[in-house]
Amino acid sequence: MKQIKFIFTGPPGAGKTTAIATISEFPPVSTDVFSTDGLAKVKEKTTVAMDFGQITLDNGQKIGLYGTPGQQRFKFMWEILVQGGLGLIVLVDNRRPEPLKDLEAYLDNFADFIDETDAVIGVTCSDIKDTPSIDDYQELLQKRGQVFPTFAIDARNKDDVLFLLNALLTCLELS
Amino acid sequence: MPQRLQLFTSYLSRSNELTLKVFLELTKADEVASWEHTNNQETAAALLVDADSEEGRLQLKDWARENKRQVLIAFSGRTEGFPENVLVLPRPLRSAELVPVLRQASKQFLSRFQEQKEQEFPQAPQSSSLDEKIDTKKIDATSASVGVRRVLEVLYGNQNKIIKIIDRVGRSVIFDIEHRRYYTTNLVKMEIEDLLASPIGNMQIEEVHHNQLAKVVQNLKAQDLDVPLWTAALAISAGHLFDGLSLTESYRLNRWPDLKKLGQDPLHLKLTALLRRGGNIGYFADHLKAPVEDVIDFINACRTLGYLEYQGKPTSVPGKKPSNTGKRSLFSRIRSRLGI
Amino acid sequence: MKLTRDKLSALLGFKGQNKSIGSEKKPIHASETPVDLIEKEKTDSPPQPADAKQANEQADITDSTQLVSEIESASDETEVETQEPSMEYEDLIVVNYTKEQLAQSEAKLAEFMSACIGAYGALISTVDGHEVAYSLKRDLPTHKISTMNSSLLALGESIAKESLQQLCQFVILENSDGRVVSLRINDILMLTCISSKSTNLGMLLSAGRNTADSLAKILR
Repeated sequence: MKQIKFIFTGPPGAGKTTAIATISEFPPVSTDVFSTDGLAKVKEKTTVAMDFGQITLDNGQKIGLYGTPGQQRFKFMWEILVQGGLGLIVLVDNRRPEPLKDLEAYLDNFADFIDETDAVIGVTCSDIKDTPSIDDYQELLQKRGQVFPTFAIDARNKDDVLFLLNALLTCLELS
Repeated sequence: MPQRLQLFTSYLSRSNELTLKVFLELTKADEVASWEHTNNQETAAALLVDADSEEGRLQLKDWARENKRQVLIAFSGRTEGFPENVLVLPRPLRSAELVPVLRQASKQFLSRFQEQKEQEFPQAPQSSSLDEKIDTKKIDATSASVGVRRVLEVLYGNQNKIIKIIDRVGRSVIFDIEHRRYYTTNLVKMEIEDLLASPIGNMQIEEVHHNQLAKVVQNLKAQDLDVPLWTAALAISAGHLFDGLSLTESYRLNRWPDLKKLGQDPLHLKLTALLRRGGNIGYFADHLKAPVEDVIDFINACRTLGYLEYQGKPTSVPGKKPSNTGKRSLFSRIRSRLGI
Repeated sequence: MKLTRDKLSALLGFKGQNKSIGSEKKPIHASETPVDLIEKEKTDSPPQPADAKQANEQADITDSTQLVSEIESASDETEVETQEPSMEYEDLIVVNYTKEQLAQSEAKLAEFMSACIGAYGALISTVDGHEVAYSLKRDLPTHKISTMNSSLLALGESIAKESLQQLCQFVILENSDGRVVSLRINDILMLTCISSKSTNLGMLLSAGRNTADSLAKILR
């Protein structure tokens, strides 16, 4: 039976591993290694394969929680990881220089998968840097002719992560 | 001037009743009379009963025997075998057939009313004035352009302006609707919500020119207007569509409301997901098995915040993929596991 | 030995380097002085931010950062088609190896290729997927192999840990007509050895391990 999963993606440092950790029934298995490029100035380590968490349903079925590597050169992993995915959670770090462009890049790169399933967007660290605002993200989506649940969240906060997942499940149920 | 008449229904299925309510909107443009649904048999001008059910057939017979003042309408797949003077609405329910039947019913009712004396039908003139009272109340509650006008509606009608509102006790708020912000020192958020829902009659309104805004709000902090607007819209909606909205038109969202901020109503989340694809109010209510009034309240709130766009003529039921019960069951197990 | 951030920074030369704009287009193993450059991503569809570029832009301004910003602003920002970068490509990692170190490394790779008759590729790359140096007998997409093998090695190490086993020694891809073996050199570097079936597995692993050990001493 093909594994069922949720995919968490977004640029490095957006909080993918953290978000998975809040809901996974075990600490996520990560494949983080030292950064050797400019990212090292921001983040000591980077994911090069995937983060892996899991939840088990009452009937024993396992739902995988997969975090993708953030960097574009690991695109081949994105293509592997989305197979069997139920939906996409895009986390965007509002502290980055161009988070709107980050979002566009991930929506473009996962366009086929999103088209087949659905996506929600979580904007992290908006308490540290409040621009762009959620309205700005929505305006970007509107220009692209897309409507996705978009909320400011704290990836460390379980309720926030569940709020995102709730929105995603609702979209999937009613599609 | 067209009359406003009411239609009482009996033994109609829920889906037919919902559809009927939507179709009644089409009579608004009628020259003789417009119709609306009522649960009050006494105030109705016509009684529509599903005559294909045994109970309905017997009720129709009783009503005919009682010589009711209302016009009787049988909803049936049969065309014959009904008491005299009973109009027949063929099954299945179609607007093309309903409208002519209602026109005929309105002519019959109004002509009866004119012929009979007040003594023979003491309730008739009273019920007519009662209807008028109900109509007036409805207009007051529903129409933004007639009767009570609220601050929210004034602001909505002046979206590209900056409006200063001063209440009875001299407290002022400056609303920049375009950017969805407000400025005040006097009122807290709840008071802003109350103000937005209040009748405009007691308020003083001034326009602030855009180039003066910076000066006027010099020491004031811009505050987010979304939540007060949303809350006020839900509060004054009360199940009646705001001006410019229609039960039969299809709408969709142009952006996802920030429900984390606006209130985490589970129904709103579902409505948002459906409205994203588009549809009309009847479809949403039916699909979610939700009260039409609640759907209307949500639509009104979305419209107020500028999230709604007109989708055009009613389309067939929108859908990305066919229904998948297996997946639905999976999603509900996931929800149960995560506690959401 | 766990590499602390400070030691890592020193190794990667984030502080106090002499920078030369003109050197960014030269292959790393030929540069006279350490070059502090940021990898720029080549992607299929625009607009696609280079993570390294963005990460660099938001860091504190240092000499190296300013230099990188200048280079980045002068260079082509986005690519429509994914290209296979060569060693002369300006997307280079931040490393601080001298010409001599790289020359010695290349020599070691050449030795490896001689020792294993069937070997047709040996790559040194960083554990996060950047190529550092290579020796090839066939035309191979070294950039891709470096990136993908970094994922594989990281996965292998995670699986070892989950299996309650100690350090992952090798990750071996046994294919119908050859093998790909990946192993660590040190905390930030890895070696990938590619050969046909004419080299036996034991020989490949042994030669690979020896080469990695030698490289660890050279590329300290």
